[in-house]
Amino acid sequence: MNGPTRLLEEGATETERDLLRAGLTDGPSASWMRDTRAALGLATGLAAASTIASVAAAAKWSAPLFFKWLGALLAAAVVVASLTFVVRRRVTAAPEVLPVVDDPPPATSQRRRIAAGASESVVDPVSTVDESPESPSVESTPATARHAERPLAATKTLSAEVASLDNVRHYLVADNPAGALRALAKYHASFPAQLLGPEATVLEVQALMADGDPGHRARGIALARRFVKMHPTSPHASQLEALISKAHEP
Amino acid sequence: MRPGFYSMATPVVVGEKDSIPPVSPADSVETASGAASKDRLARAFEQNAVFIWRSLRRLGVPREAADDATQQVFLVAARRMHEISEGKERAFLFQSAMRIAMEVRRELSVARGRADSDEGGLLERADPAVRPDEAVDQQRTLRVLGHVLESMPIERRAAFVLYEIEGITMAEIASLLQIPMGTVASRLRLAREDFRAAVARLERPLHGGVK
Repeated sequence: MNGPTRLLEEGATETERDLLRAGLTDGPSASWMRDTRAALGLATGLAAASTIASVAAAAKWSAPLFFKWLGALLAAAVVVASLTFVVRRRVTAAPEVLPVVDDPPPATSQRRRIAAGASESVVDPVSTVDESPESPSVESTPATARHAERPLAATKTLSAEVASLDNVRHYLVADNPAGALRALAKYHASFPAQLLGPEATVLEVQALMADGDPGHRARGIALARRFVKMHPTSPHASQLEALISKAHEP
Repeated sequence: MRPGFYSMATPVVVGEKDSIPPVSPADSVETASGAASKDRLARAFEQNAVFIWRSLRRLGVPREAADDATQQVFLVAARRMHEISEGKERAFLFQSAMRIAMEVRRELSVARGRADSDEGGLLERADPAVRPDEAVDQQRTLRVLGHVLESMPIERRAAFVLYEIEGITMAEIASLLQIPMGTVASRLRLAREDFRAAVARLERPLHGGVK
């Protein structure tokens, strides 16, 4: 079944043709494509795939071309290795194993970013952590603050963020909101520039509301309201509104 | 907390439950490795990102929300790639896009009343190769196209956009939407009527309004 002749090919008025043609004129920006590729952890893989494809094509058509590409690849590898060495040296300059303290850092919330709007959050998840015996430590200190501010997020992949939030969900499923809040604190420390910031906010609201503490519940409601106000068209807004309504139920 | 409130089977991520098209057992490929899934995701992204972004726009997602919505589509795909069989990626992505577009439209209808910020976004994203006056024309035309497409129910709209704008064959549309060819033809016919009627309504004041 070939289908009817398309309007653009036959039978459309000038206005109709203009409108239909316009439908193909817009698209995402190149920077969005690049950022999303990186966020999905695809940038490196694509580069490698591209290189492999290039080498394969070179080998197919001529040996000299193949060696030319191979040389280029090796040169690129040397450059990448050098850059990696420099970055690793800078990263390892700071202590990786950090002291465990009981007092949370004062300004964690300033580091938090909601990916959808890159806006600051009002709730400091660390300050809401229950200092119960089952949660003896909070892995965030002023040192971690500096640690988190390093551009680690650039090297983290989406899967790492997803895994981190899955961990939060496990705590929620296990009816352990305090554990969920601790896991969220780790998430915020590990991913200063979050791709899944809105999802994290939803989980945080759920954890705060599930905690049973009236103060936490109020903070959860405030966080949810702030998010909905700032991102009314977000796919997450409706669930947060539902959580707010649920929180007001007797 | 109520038992089962946070169920792993029911994702807590907002909208995701509605956003994920069901994967039939026939489509399920449980043995795919993580690396293979990543390669497939990379290919799916390169081949479909622009198509999905544009489809979301034509399905009524405002420009300012299109980036996030597209990203959401691929995030869902990234998490479920191992469940999608080879060759079904585009269909999965498009169905996710349709569901997300419906969510966004639902939320927009709730938040209606705010000024349409489409123009600002279009100006911001205008193709640098296009002259400013051309860009303005293009923005206007796209806005009009959006209004015209609004006259169609989303199912007809999807068939119309895929066939008349994206140039996809009816067989592939049937595969993308997982509906019979006859249904595609029927939706397309009705969508054309909607389209023509909407364009005629637009043209009426232009050609017959001044005395």
